[in-house]
Amino acid sequence: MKQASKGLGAVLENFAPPVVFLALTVTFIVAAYGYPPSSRAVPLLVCYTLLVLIALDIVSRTTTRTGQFVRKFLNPASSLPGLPKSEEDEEHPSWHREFLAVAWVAAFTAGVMLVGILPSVPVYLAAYMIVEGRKKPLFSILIAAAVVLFLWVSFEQILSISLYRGMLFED
Amino acid sequence: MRGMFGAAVACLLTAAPVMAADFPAKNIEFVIPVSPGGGFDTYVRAIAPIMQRHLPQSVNIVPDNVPAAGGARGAAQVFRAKADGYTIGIFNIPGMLVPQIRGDSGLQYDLTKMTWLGSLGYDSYGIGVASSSPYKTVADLKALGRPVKFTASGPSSTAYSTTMIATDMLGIPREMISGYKGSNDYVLAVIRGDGDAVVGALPVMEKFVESGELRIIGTFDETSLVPGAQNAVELGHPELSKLTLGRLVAGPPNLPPEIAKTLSESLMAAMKDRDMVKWSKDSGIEIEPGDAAAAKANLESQFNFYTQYNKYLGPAN
Amino acid sequence: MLDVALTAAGNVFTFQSLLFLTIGMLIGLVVGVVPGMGGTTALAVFGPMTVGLDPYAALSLAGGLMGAVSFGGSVTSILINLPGGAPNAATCLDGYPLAQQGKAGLALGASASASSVGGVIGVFTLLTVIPISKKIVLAFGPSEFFLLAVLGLVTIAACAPGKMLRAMIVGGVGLLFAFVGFDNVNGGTRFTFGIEHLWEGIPLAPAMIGLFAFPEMIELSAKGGSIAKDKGKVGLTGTLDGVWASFKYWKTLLRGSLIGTLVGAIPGVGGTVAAFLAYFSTVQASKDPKSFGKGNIEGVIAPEAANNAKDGGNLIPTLAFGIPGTAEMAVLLGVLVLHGMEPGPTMIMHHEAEIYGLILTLTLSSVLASVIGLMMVRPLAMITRLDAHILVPAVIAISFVGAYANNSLAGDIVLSFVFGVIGYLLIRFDYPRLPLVIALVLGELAERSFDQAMMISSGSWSIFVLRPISALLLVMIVAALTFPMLRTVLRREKAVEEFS
Repeated sequence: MKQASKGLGAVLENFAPPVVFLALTVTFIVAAYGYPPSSRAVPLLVCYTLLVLIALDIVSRTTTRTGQFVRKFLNPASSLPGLPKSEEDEEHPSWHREFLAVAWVAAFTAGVMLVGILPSVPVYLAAYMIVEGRKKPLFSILIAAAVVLFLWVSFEQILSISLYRGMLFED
Repeated sequence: MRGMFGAAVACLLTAAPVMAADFPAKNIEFVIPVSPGGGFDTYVRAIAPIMQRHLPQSVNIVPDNVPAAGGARGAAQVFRAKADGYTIGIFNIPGMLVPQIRGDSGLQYDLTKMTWLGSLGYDSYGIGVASSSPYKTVADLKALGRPVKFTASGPSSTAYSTTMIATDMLGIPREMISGYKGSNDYVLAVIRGDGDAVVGALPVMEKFVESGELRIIGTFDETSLVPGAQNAVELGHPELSKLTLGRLVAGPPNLPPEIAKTLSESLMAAMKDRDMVKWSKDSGIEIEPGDAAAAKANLESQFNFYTQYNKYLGPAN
Repeated sequence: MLDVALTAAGNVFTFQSLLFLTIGMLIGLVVGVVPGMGGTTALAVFGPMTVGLDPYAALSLAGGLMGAVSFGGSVTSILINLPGGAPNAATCLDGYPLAQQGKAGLALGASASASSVGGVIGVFTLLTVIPISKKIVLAFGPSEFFLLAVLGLVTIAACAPGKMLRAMIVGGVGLLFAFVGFDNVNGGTRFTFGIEHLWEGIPLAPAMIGLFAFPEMIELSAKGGSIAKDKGKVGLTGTLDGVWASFKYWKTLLRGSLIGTLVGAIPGVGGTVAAFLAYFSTVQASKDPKSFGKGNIEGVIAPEAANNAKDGGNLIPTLAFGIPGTAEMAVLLGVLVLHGMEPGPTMIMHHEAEIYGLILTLTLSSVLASVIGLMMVRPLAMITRLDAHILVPAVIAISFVGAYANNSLAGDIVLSFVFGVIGYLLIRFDYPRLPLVIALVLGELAERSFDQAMMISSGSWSIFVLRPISALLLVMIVAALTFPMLRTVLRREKAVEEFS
């Protein structure tokens, strides 16, 4: 069951997205006023429209009558935490698993930025398959090698596109 | 120890001329600061295979597109490359000179310090109007009694500054319609009726004249003879001829003279090569061979001209 | 005209030309599949290699490549919800759900046939339109481009049935992202917040890769399993059904093809808007709009036909005036110039036979690439059965490389990652992602055209009403906005009536 369905967690999860959008829009508005009028006209128009839309989104997430009205006309299929879900929607994985999934990609990104593509790819692939997938090490290494070979042949050799060497090795 | 040291020094001392005589010993990179398909891209791709035939040793000249930042990235790459002759680049003058004069922040090159090797030619500019429009001379435009609408690319582009400078020299009150992407686009815009007139490179406009859609009413060349158009002298402003678009080739600063000579001679030979001449005729793209000295002189003259007209170059980025 | 066409055919059906056609097709198929790579890069690399060969070799290579890339891009859209290029994004909407239901074969089959037919119709339309191609290009100026971009943005609302408000918010954010970078009309850079990498704006390919590849992969990674929810159901016999489906739903096929050609002719926006408009109009024309987004085969047929038909349309401004609407067309022009054909209004005048040759190879490629693609459906569909723990890192690794390879800028890798996180958050909190892509594609054009239109009309808004095509587009925009809402209201009333 979703553990965030109760109390503060539910409120946060419900209103966090529009608040984030709001913060982004406000940042752009503030930045826009630093530019000359002709440059900021269209962006500001978009920003102000966004403010209205975000306000509607916030309202639609409340349980007031206006909220229900907005939901009916603009968002009938959206899911809201805490409301009964339709059968088609699936359970979200736990926060822990999501974080782990993102962390793997983040680590790979960091690896690529530091030492480049060609070393990082096989390490990431093999490590992921062995640790997360519990695959046999030999199998993992073979697949990792195959993928990096494919990349090397197609990009470096055939397309003559040199693959990033990483911040430590680029001149 | 001393013997080895002496041997090493001796090697280094003799290495320099030995290196020059052996040049080129590996592939040469020809940097193109625009994306593939851009006008300058084609020049390099056409001339590279021909130029490599004229080098003393057989190596490849490999075109390398380095787009981004309006060409600044490619220019910086050449500027910062090792001065060993294995990196050269093509430069749009004054296009790439303008950011330097204007004082754009973060620029990592200084064109006045590059080793200039030659030029592939210069385009002159002119004024065109739609062939369906009633204007036949520049005087007609001035007589409109309202600002004349000129189409051009963005405020940081050569077309834009050229239009502004030319119209001021000629005394035409103008309003700019900017932001078009590319010369074919902003010339087409005037044919469509978005604007009244356009300042464009003559080779581009001449194609539209051939297809019957454009009329050239003025050229900024001192001697050109386009039927129906007054040239710079006839318009009373010979200094208009300074408004050109040059395609110059250069290597990094402090290139050893021997190596620079090899490169510029093979470039010159390539431009005069029969195959190049044929390509030039077929594609309608003119090549006027210019040597290293001419290129350097042009750069300096353009640098002085645009420094003088700094205020037209748009705000610094 | 016939003798020119025959000359062209004579030159295309030679061993050398056909060889290059095949090479181009294979390259196009492979490149199309790699996320982030498209015809542009491939043509840029291989086009110059044809220097010195006869022009028909280059044209065959180019035609083969361009005709095949769209289908390659469709493959990843269907199998892993990653559009090969912006025009392929609409195929994800129903293609991926089909793959999840184990019906990848069906989707791929329909995609193959729809692509072929769409491509042929697009080329055929191009041929009939060449004589008036200049008039067409001249008829579309900044005011029309602006309204067209708005029309494209409005279809955002229809992308996610039932989530209109959230779609519009995401679209708005996409527009803000589109404004980042250098302002072409007024000069100066905006919204870069001091990050030099953003000077040229947010590049589309890395952003799209991040938005689409990573969220799916992260989700798979967290949940485990494979893309096809029920492995046993991965039906490959569905492929032939898929191929026939395009002909069964011939009205959708025709609609998609025509929209693709017409809209594809508009420089700059063509492909993406065409695919989405085709999808959108199919949804509206359908008796069961709610079934879209969940695996309705018509939702694959329409955009697939459109994004191949657009290849014909794309050529119109390129050939008529040498105005490349897309980066791919710019590279094509470069290749043509290399072979002594001067881009611009005189090209068709001087090189009619070569142009017809190009068109012919494009047609052949459209059809043949699909045939080759069909032969590969079995192994391709198997990807949906692959265990997540093998698929996820492989896709992510290859996607990153694709993102980097576009411009060889390390910053694009970080950008991809950032958009990956954004994309995951969006699907996690139930916001649609496609509007962000559409807005990113159209935002620059919309703003630039608007500013230009205002300069042309000296500030008067009447320009949008006085020009006939603009007025027509305005009507279409209003219709696109109101039609879905009206329909929902009308159906609700009908439902209420039925129950009372």
